[in-house]
Amino acid sequence: MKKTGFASFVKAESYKCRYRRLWLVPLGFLVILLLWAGRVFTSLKPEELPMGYAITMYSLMLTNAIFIPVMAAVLASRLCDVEIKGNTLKLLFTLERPGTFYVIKYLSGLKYLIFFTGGETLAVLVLGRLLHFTFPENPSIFLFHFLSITAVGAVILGIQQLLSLLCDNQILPLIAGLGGTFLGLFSMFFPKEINMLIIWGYFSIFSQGAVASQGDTWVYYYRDFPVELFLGFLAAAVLLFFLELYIFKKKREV
Amino acid sequence: MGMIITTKSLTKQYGKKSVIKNLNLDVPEGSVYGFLGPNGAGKSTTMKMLLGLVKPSAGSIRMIGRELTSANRLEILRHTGSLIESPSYYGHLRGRENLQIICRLKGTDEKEIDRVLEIVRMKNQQDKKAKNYSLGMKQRLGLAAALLGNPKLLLLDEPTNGLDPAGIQEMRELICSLPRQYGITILVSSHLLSEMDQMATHVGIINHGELIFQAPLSSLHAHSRGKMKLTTTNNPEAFALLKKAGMEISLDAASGTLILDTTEDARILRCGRLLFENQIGLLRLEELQLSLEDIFLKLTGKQVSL
Repeated sequence: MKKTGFASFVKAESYKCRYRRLWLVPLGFLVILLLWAGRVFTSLKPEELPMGYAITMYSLMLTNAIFIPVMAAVLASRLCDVEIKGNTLKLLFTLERPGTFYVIKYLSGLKYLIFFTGGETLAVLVLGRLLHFTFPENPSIFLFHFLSITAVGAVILGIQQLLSLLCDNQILPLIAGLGGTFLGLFSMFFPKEINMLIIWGYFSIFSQGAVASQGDTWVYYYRDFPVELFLGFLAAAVLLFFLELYIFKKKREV
Repeated sequence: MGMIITTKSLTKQYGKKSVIKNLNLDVPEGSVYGFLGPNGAGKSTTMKMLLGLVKPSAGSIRMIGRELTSANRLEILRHTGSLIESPSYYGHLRGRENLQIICRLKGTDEKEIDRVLEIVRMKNQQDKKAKNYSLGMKQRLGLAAALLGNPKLLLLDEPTNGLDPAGIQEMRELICSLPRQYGITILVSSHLLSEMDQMATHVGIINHGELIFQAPLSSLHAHSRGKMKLTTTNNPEAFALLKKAGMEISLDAASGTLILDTTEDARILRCGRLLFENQIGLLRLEELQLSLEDIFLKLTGKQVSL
């Protein structure tokens, strides 16, 4: 018998996902996003092109608040229902630690999320170049965009994974995912202090595209990325993940 | 014979409720140990404690020569296989693919899959998706998974639950063959007493979380030689006579025969003498084997639901 380790467990996790066509989930959302982006980008007037990326970032704040929570809910549900339906946890926990199982399951979902967020960032960058958007003075906005939507999405994915592993009926986590979407969208109308209390609303907090009214016109501009707030968010995200892990180990009866 | 599992004062409490109380289990190596008890007696909780799925409130577990701790649990469990309650499987994957996952997790060579499929007689069904298997096939797939890695010990919790009579028979044959052919010790739980009679070499009976009996099956059967059945030329008169003489006798209403609650030679002799002195002819005298249900009743004082 060979020694087993993290790599064997990761490989086993990928075996479990065979025939699940999980790549279609982020790919599907990405295609919808690209269709939408294509329509928005091509409808921009020539005078809007200098701020093309700011307009895009602002618009993506809304689409991400809708797409990412729903995608996270679907991904977590697809990844976890094979364990729930097949009653596998009691067998798995005789072969690997519950904590290891939870982390590997999470990483498995995270790769699909990164595929989407990376794909989105790349698509925005490339489409903007093709349509002659003025390249921003600070190109790090693309990196911050990718990091922030990935981080917020990762936190949501963690919550969805916990719900999916604790619920025998996967409809409940999916409803929770949709609820999060609405909460995130509504939170954008709240004062920032309240917005910051809602995880699903962080897409707007970290958005680098903003709009302000100047008389009868709307002016788009770049907003500085809140690095300190982002680092605080990451720290809270790590704590939240450990809390989820603790709840999973305590609550999941085998 | 050495013990492959020994528990000392194993206890599990949920809040103030004790589910398992001071359980001292001794499972001999190479045996098929039948862990018997009615539903809710604590069999599954004990099994889960042995597998480290439930944390004991007190007591210790020694398994395959080592004290089971959270640090070495997985290392010890690599030499065991388990099948707890309903079968575990990935429905969207084929039988063979399910076993490949277990191979990965156990660190076992995938070449072993053919061997275990052969043992559970599933070679022809290995390419079917597990969700399309019957319950019996799912249980056999679970057993195949448990057998990967040549375990020294198998823990099977109610492996025949929900199976049809043919499935039960097949599973029973499989379980019985494993110690003989592969030297595997089996701890198998069930609430079906008759089933254990056909499988186990040793028996432990648990009721309300307490181990009330533990011995080889033959010793349990020794408990069954507890009664004598008498048929006389005048059963009612014989009953009155023996009762008056202070003998533990009862009249079976259905058959009208007498049941003497002893197999002690001196008492049987006295009984015969009394009947002879009172000119009652003894037509038949036979020893009654108690069923396991009766033995359970005798040990616990309670009827079990079967």
